Amino acid sequence: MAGDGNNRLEPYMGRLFGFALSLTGNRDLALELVQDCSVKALAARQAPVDQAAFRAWLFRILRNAAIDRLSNGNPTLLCLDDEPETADPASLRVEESLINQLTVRAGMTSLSPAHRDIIALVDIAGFSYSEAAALLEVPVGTVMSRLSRARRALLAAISEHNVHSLVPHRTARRA
Amino acid sequence: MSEKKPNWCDLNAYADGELLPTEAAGVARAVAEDPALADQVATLARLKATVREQGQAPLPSELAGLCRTAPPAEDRTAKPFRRTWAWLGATAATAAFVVLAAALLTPADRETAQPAWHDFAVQLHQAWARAEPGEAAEPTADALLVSLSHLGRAAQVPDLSGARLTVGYVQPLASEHGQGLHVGYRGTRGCRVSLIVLPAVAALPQKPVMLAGAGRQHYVWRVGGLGYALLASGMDPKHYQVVLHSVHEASLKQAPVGPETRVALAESRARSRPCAA
Repeated sequence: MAGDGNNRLEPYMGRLFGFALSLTGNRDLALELVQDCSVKALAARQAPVDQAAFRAWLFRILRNAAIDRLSNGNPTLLCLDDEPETADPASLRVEESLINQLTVRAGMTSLSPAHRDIIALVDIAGFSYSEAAALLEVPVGTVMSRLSRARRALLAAISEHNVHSLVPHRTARRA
Repeated sequence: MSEKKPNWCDLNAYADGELLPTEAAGVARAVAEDPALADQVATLARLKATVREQGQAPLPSELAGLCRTAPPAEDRTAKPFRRTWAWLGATAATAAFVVLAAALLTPADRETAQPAWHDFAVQLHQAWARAEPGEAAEPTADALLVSLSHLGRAAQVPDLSGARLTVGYVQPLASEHGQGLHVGYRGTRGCRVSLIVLPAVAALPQKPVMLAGAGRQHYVWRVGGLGYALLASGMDPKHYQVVLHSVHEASLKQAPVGPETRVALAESRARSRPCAA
């Protein structure tokens, strides 16, 4: 199937794995989730015909499996209370040079599952706000606010992991 | 949008390309006039790109083979009647696999002579099942090389990663029963499985038989001059049947586990409960 281009699932395997890895932070668990998701998708009697719907359907299967596995019976694990932004994001200054694979990976693992969820949906799975909103069954505005809070939390986590920088950084690049 | 200073939420939507053109133009003007805003947008862009890169981890080899037995896309979408037949075909193949596994375990041959080493095999498995991670020796040699050097021939040590069982232990055996090999598989849900290969006794059949008095998940069989034993504890019985069938088939054919078997193992695992302690 690798070379015939007919398989609809295969092109998404990489993103599904990346999404699962971001949600769980655990390679073995991510592997299990993608495997379970693939089995369910392959065994499904009717898969969505439309490609975008098919993609959303796949990620929904995987996300639901992750909720089942991570929440241990608590369905609200990935729910946020959607409170308004309180802190001023401008007060959170993170040097661009501190944002790299290592710090982002560490930051992601320290986020709440709900924050990892929305970041992974948009930045890793590649869903638009409206697609993510449909998948989560919330308004687009809720996706916007959740995502902005999640990214702020991620930047805060990165900042905390980088209290001491090894080289001096310019603090005002545009001064 | 252009009348007020963009907030953090606006900047995120701007970085994601989610604003309407007029809104995006307003944010662009504000960013151009405010270095602090420009810094935030640059930070967001870098953050987004780095997270995206994180999601592009190489696909593990365990997942690469999963799609290979799926029906072609057009069969599943454009032509409903063909989709039905494709699904029926896949279901029939899986069902046939399970039926074969069940037939394999019919107790007709239960009274056949047991190998003299069956107590030894049970003890080996119990030690592996009790071992804490890191306590038992990790695999130090390729199972095939070990079998060649200790058995004088190649025993089939199948890849069971479709069932998320990976080799965690390989131990050459030198006992009163002859030279052999103990391979310990470790699952991710508490499962421990032992594949033990020792010289076969003549009366041992090719069809797996249950070890007398050892429990329902201890089976032995013979291929050529080698006796195989597959032992598990607390595994979902139906899942054990599928694993046993896969290992037995690989040993008979002296061939690696094929894609259909991998899918059957994965489906069986997905349906099964975790191993009981």
